[in-house]
Amino acid sequence: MSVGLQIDLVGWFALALILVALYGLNSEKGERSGSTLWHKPAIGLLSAALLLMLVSVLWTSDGSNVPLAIVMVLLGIVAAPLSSRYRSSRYRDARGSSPQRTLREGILSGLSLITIGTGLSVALLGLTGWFDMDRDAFTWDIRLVSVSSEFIGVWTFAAGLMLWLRLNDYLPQSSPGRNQKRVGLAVLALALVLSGLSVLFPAYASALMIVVAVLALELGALSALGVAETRVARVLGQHTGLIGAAIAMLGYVQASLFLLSMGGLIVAAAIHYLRGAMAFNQARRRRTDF
Amino acid sequence: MDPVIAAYTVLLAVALGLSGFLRGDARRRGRGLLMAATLSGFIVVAAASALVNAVSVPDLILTSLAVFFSAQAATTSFSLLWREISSTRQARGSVPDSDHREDTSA
Repeated sequence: MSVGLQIDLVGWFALALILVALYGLNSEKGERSGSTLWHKPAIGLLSAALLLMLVSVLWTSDGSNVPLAIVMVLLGIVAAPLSSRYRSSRYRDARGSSPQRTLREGILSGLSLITIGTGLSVALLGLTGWFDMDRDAFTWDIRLVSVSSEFIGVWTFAAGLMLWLRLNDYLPQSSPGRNQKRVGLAVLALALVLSGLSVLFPAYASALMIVVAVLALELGALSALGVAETRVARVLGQHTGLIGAAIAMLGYVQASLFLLSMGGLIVAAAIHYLRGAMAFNQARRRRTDF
Repeated sequence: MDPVIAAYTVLLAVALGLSGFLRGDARRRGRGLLMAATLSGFIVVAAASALVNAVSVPDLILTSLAVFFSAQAATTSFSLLWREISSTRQARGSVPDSDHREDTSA
């Protein structure tokens, strides 16, 4: 069952661009010799790859939905600075913490915005897959992909939203207890069992899907509220890895090797991140200024 | 698509990514997270491809919302990564700082 995306020819070139860009972003040589020569072109290469893929997707379609797609992409680009600027202007006055900590939380808040957006779109795409399926040609692997992307998407969306609310002081600071973790594990196990049931028994699948979505919402809230504030970045890293897995599954449904390998790369980056400590350059920057 | 081919591709991509990211500086893993977020912005491609292939009205609504949110996420991630890269120059020379300790102690 392939939805489309006959663009793997262009995808190879885009993948090559992305790999070169990642190589450039990871390179240390430039920084030691005193120039960051390779980093800005690397970002250019990444955005060029993204544009190339978008254009080729729009080019190979039959053209009826292309204006809608372009308008939606432009609206999303316009909405991004609006949603993140609101926060940073409000935040400084709200809390008298150190400027470095403020910057670090600003980055984390941006990351949770990214998590919200990608989680929502993964959930919506999973939902589309669910509605779209012809019930007769509804094989178990497509059902599995649909259920798990729904689950991952809603979970990630809820966790990102709760983290964003926490970082912006809309929620009171909570201190995690031991019980919270236990409840979270129980909800996770219940959700996994229910998703397994909805894959095995398609007759009750729609009702089970709703329950799974509600459980995923609750799980997201639990996993975001039940962590200390110093571990927020770690939770975001986990959810980025989950999004990578969801992208790989979408690539399986859409029969695109490009999306499969992107998902693999994201999972690798998240694993690599989760194994170490973290430091942001931009949080370190202003320390000497203030 | 053949599940075996899909599994091989994912496995190879994970291995390639892991070996590639190992080259990065251990003190700057924050950038690794930003890079992962930027790569996950490529979901806008999947969303756009679902949108141009959608036929019914509910599909159109769902997928266009997905394109909207993923484009927003992609833009945010690119701007965050850009800010991180731009501030590398200023950060060089300053001492390794405390947001290390903050994370490892937890």
